[in-house]
Amino acid sequence: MRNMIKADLRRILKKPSLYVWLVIMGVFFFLFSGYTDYTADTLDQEYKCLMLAAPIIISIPVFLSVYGDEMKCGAMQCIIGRGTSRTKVLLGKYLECLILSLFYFAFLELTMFGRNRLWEVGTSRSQDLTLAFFIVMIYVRTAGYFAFASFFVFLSWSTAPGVVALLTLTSFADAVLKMVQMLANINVYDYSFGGLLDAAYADLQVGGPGLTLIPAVVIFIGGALLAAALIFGKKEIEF
Amino acid sequence: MSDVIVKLEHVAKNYGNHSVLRDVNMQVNRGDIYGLIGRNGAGKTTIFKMILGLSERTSGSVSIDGSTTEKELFKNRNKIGFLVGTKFYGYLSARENLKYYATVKGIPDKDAKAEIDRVLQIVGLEGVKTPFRGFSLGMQQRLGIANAILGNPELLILDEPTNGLDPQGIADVRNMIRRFREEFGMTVIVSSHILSELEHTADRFGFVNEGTILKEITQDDLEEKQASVEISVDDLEKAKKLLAEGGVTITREIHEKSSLEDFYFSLIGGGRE
Repeated sequence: MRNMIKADLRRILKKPSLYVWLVIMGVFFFLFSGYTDYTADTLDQEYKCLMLAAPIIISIPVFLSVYGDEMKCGAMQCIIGRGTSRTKVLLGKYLECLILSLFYFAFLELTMFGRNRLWEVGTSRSQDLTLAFFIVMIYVRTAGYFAFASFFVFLSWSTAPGVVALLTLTSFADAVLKMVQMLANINVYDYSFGGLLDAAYADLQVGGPGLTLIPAVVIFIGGALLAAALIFGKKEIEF
Repeated sequence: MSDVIVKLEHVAKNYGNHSVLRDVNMQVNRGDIYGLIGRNGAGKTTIFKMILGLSERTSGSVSIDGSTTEKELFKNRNKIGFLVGTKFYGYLSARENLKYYATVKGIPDKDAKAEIDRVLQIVGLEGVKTPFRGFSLGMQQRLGIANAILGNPELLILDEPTNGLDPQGIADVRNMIRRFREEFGMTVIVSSHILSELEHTADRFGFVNEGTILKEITQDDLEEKQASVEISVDDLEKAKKLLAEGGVTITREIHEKSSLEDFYFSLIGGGRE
């Protein structure tokens, strides 16, 4: 699995599109977000902008880099035929998504802080830490989206349903669940992946342990990967 | 190390009620060049999928290099190199694609360059720098063969390796197969639906029809069944006269024209070694 991850990351890093997206992301967050003064309101606006834009801007190019070319070329067949287990292939691909998106998120953090320093935005250390931590939580949210999207890839043996799943999850899935919760008075959002992450973040902000992070990761991310592994294990692989 | 490198016993594969493989029994000995012959849709590729684990068998057992458990079978699959279609990234060059697979196969970086140079030289692609998406079908097949032999596997599986190749390419592949066994000690299983491709290359043959192996024979079995002997002479009339004087009766005379392949190579040059 380690060899596969190393080989894949090397070939993905040769793709110019990876760096083009990085520049687009950097320009977007440098120019179109941020405030000259951080109050509670403007900080809240900043978080909403990040939550809306970062997952979609980062997850789509990463997902396509890992799965898009792979599905077109079929290298996975060769890797499995050489004796790598399907579970390891699936986990390896997922880890590649996490590693590549970490690279993007780290760049995002640098862009945000670089922008604030350049514009001489007076943020306190506490605000800097809160912002950095918030970006980490978006990373965890995006990790979940990758797990759900990979399930659709292995179910359909095509990247397109995975991309559609990512777009749905990053754009309006949480908003729909919140609306259903409000209208139907059923806690569908609170017990969803996004809801559990929100609860963990709120708890961590006031110094709590953020325990709802555990079921979010174990049930939702673990469950999605397990389901994908079960589907992939039975898949007939065509040449 | 077992003498039998691949063994399939009573292997069956069903898709619902449709039976694709029925009671397949097949044995490939170490050092063989084994020709798997059958028409399109007979089940050749499905047999390969069973060996490579790309499809789950409905029943029966597969053994690679004497493996007795599923875990051993799994582990022994890393001794196999195979060409089953061409699976390369369009934006990478031949060398970069092979570097990818060399890394996947666990070939250390310090050895990878020399190994890639070696296999590219064998298949005749050493000077090619264009991305894979610009390759002709013949070049794609050659790169596929290069990838299959990367790391010098013990067992080589080639599924219709001459598909899309011109006559020179077909001859080159035939020569390569012999070289893989003689020079690198590989056991080769090669499939084709064209009998002439395998006739002079393989030692043993398995005939596949409607999902089962009807018979396995060797080159010796083929020669025993020889119905006639072909003799080339420089003076046909003199030969007939001598035979008649010796009391030999010629019961049948067949005049054959030169094969198209023979004529092509006499014109262009190259051909069988």
